[in-house]
Amino acid sequence: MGNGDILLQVKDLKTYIHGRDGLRVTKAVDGVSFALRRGETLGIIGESGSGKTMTALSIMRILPSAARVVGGEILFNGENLLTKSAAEMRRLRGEKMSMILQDPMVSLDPLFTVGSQLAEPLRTHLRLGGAALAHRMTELMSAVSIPSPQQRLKQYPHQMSGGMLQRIVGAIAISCDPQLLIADEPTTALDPTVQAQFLDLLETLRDSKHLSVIVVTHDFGVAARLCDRVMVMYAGRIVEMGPIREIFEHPRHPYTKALLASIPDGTEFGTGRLKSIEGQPPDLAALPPGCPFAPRCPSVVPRCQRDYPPEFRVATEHAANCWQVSAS
Amino acid sequence: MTRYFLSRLRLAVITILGVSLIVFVTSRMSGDVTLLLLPQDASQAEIAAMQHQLGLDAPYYVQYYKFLVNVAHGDFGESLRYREPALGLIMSRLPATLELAFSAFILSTVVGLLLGILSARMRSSWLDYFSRIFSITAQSMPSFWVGIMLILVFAVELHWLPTSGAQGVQYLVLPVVTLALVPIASTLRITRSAMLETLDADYVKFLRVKGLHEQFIVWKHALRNALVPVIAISGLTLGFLIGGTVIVESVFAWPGLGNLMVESIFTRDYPVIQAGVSVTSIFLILLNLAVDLLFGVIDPRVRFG
Repeated sequence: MGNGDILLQVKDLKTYIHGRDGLRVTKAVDGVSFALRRGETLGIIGESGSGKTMTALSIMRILPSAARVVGGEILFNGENLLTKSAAEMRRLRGEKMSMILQDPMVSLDPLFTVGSQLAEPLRTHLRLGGAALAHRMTELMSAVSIPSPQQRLKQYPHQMSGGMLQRIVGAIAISCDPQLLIADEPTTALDPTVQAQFLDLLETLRDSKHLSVIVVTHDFGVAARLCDRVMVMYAGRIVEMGPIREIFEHPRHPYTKALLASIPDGTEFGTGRLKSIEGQPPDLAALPPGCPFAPRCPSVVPRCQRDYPPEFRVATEHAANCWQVSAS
Repeated sequence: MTRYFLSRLRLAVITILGVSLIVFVTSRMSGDVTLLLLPQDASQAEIAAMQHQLGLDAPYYVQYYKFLVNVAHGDFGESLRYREPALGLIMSRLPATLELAFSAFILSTVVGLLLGILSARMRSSWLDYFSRIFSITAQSMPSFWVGIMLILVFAVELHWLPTSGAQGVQYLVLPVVTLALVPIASTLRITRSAMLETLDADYVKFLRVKGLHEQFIVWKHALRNALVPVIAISGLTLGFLIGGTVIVESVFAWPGLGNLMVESIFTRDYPVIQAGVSVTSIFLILLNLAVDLLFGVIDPRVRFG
């Protein structure tokens, strides 16, 4: 893996949220490292509160004011994003790196037409105007397969369905041909039929625009559709990372196994129960020493309560942070 | 938009009718006009004759109908005190009051919006704390007291501004500041909280994702969204301001409607009171209609909803 192949490299990223009193510190992201190759699609999987969205927001540097990156590096094309000025970040955002948010119904300003909101990044970054701008906008609207784009551009967000809006959000996100697209739960707010359509669209866009994509999701189905590799996060850390097939077929971390087991597969039918993981995710402001999954782990050993397990490589690209893995 | 406008217009007409009914009923309930017009020792026959002359012996619905017809022709009767048309009196005083109320409205909107936006942008800064203390203080001080204090400081002690009257712009300053203090505070608070909510919204996050300049996001997108609740209360603010002039005009001897109304109430000049209440009510209803329309202009969900 030569360095030229790597678009984004995150090294030991730590993003903490400071409470209002300044005392309570929530370790939302706690030492996350990974690399994203050009043209690759990486999934970040985890429950809510596992730090997957915070990781994404840290990369975009659009964290809420209470959250701060306190350590690590984020190298984008070899340049550390964390040392860039606000103005330099603005030039990258929207042009070289972009993002799709979870809920399309609230991603667009309700008081402006979708057309004017699509035009904004094109004017700002590509300095387009007049006929060139109009042409580009129509092109983008057909790229996300929106029929009669001229009429749609004049409409307001509340006049459109969720699926339509997410397409437009997608069109805005890719409007300046970014290298990196982060999709944060892109289909969670959509109806199941529309979900599938949007995943198709995302796939088409990725392949035609040569995008590198990070998909943040809690849904293994979405990950299986789109991703080359996935990393599973728990309590602000990566617990397992590997090619999607490997993770599906040979999960090594007990948390990954539990997540996969909780996907309904039809055998629950009639039992009236879905499989779930016992217990609650830990309080990120008061993490116990050792493995944060230990209190919920079915195969816990005494060492888990004491020491945080390091990364154990189990195959070429497959690694898991678990003492059980080291034993086997 | 047309349908929205028509529905608002219909509401305005209904409200005006309601106001006319209240004015009519309260004026009948507040005593017999004939007793006021006639000497104390007037005979029953004289009272009956007077009632017949004024049309007060007719059934109420007939009286109300006549009242409506007269009002529609701009006839509110004659002032008992000045012996001239009540509406003319009101209209001659209205401009001075509107001058006061609109100046205060512009001042409170501009200052309230600016302070509100800046407080939200610089949350927990000295400016934010200043704004908070200012709005609590301003909203808890009665305007007659504020007016007197301002006169004491700026007119009596410092001689910067005249104490009272209305002979030029410098006469406008103290009454307008007095009147605007409370609406500045309420506009500030609403703008601040609306702005904080907006800046936290997902679409603002997405605007940041697009790489737009923070100033652009604040002044184009966030401000317009934050304006929605501010506009929503501006109708109330205008009502407060026009009502509030009654006290402020007394304190500063401002020759406006408020002063005339106070005098008329003391002298039981019913036609003038009726004309004053009707005119200000209709005026406020029309202003609120304008506010509703502005709402439709700024928010497409209202326009197309």
